[in-house]
Amino acid sequence: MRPIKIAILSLTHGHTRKYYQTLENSPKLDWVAACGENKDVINLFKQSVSGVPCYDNEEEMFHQHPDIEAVVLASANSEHKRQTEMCTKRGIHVLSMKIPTFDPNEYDDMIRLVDQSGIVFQIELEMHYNPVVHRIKNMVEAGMIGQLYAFQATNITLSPVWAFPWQGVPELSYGKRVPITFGDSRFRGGALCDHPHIFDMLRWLTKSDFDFVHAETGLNIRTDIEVEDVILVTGKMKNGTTFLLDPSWSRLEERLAIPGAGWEIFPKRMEVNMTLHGEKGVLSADCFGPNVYHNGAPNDRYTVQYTYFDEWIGMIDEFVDCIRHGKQPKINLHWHRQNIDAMNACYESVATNKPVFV
Amino acid sequence: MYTDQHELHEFFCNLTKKYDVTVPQTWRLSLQTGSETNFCTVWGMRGVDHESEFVPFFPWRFERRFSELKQIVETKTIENVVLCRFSHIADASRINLQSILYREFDLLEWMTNRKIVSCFSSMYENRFANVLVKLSDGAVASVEAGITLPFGQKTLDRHELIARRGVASDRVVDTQIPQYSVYLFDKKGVQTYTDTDAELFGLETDEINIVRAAFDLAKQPESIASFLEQNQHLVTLTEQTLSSKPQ
Repeated sequence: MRPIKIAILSLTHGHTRKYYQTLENSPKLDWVAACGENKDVINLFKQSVSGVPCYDNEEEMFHQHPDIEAVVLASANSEHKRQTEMCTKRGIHVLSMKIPTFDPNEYDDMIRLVDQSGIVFQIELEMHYNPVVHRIKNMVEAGMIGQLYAFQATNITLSPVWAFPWQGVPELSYGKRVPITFGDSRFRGGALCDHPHIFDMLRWLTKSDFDFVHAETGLNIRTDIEVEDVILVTGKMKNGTTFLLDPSWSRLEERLAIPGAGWEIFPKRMEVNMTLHGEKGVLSADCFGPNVYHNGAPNDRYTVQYTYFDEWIGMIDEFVDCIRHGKQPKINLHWHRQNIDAMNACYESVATNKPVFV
Repeated sequence: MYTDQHELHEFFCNLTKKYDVTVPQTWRLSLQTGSETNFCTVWGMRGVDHESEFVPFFPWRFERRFSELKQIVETKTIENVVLCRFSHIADASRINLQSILYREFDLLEWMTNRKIVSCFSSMYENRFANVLVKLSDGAVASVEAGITLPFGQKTLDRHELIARRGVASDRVVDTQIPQYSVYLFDKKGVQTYTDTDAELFGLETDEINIVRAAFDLAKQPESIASFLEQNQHLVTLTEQTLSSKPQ
């Protein structure tokens, strides 16, 4: 199959460096260009990648490379609507970061633009390509734990705001400045916005939609950021499954401008664990384990060194397959809409201190 | 689940004799459950002031992992706890949902030295409760409580305290299940043992906690009033949690 000619935009998202590896290594992709949003990210790009031109203007990039077929939107959430509009006008396929937008009207506009243009718009919810998740799904579908009663999941990480500042700016992360609650000095746009995966997994594994959510933010671990870093969510799915989600930034980090070894203070920088309770038993899973451990460089701290399989392989396989064969990706704008609605409902629940029906 | 109450009482009496702690003859270590306690299983001492009086105590407070976690908070090894993540999943033949919540709420308040000011619970029948809790200083906690483990399985629990400085937990980083002191691999499979008390060697951890809690009450009867008050508070909290519904 002819490789997809692809570019990457903005270079400000936390997953940008992961894409350097993916775009360089995938035999299904032909990486032709990049476009950085500012000098800092362009300089970083030039230190990390050779042989791929990097522009500071999207129009100029598209003008110089009319053969671009697809782009990765490696940008702040606030940029996604504009960039989607630009891509639909050009008929360019999109691999979007995990939050298209939190604004329901913008979201509907994006759906309309994508549906009318006929482009492939795939959302990067990479847990769908995780082998542990495959195992869980198979076991649930085979009835090994019977009818589901309850579900818990963590998606806990360190905070990326020091390396990727837009994630701590409410307007860029959430799309606007909305106080967490009346009189609170914090705003929407923090840990919750970073962790849609468990909302998505909950729906995917239970094959049900959200009924209601109830969320609490409590106090921040980091007192010097503008957005929430602790949030807990409970609620019910329409099929009666009760759930508890923890998408907090509850692991402390060194405040590095460029993430790398030694970023974590707590030994494990990221965890997605799930427990599913059914009539026949309990299934408990660590989606990124088991691992190896060291207490070496750079800080001589006990550290979890991950061993997990590269989820981007399956994601790119699907993206390319959808483009070449005119298919709709599993994780498209229509599917993801209810995850975003549920996350917005969490913020509303925090603001009103009441459960909110989705 | 437990060794006979009379047998545990004997262990308690032996400790009081060994350490020369005087206990009135009417004291009997016992278990109470029923509508008065919202069907929470509560261990305590009967016959303290008069024959029918029951004084509850909180055995889990004597489990070393919990007293160490409490100490970690009290000595400011970790500072400013803002998030607690508790989980307790058991086999329904061992315990009911009410009793799990009673225990975990007490542990939460005791370890953090704060009071629970609100609870919201999402339940599946009387088998599982996912509970969000707010503490008196604004910190939040989650309590996963369930009786979904198959018959005969050992209880799975986890208690994690996340602070502005540091994290404390009774579970090893990057693991999902409890560790044991001893593992025996033989033809029958794997057998595990956790021995934490040489003086009460042979008893299960939960049994040791009951005897230790009774012995502590005997040494410090001035705790009685606060125990009665805490019991009533926990029974009310449990009742409110189990009846919370979205409006």
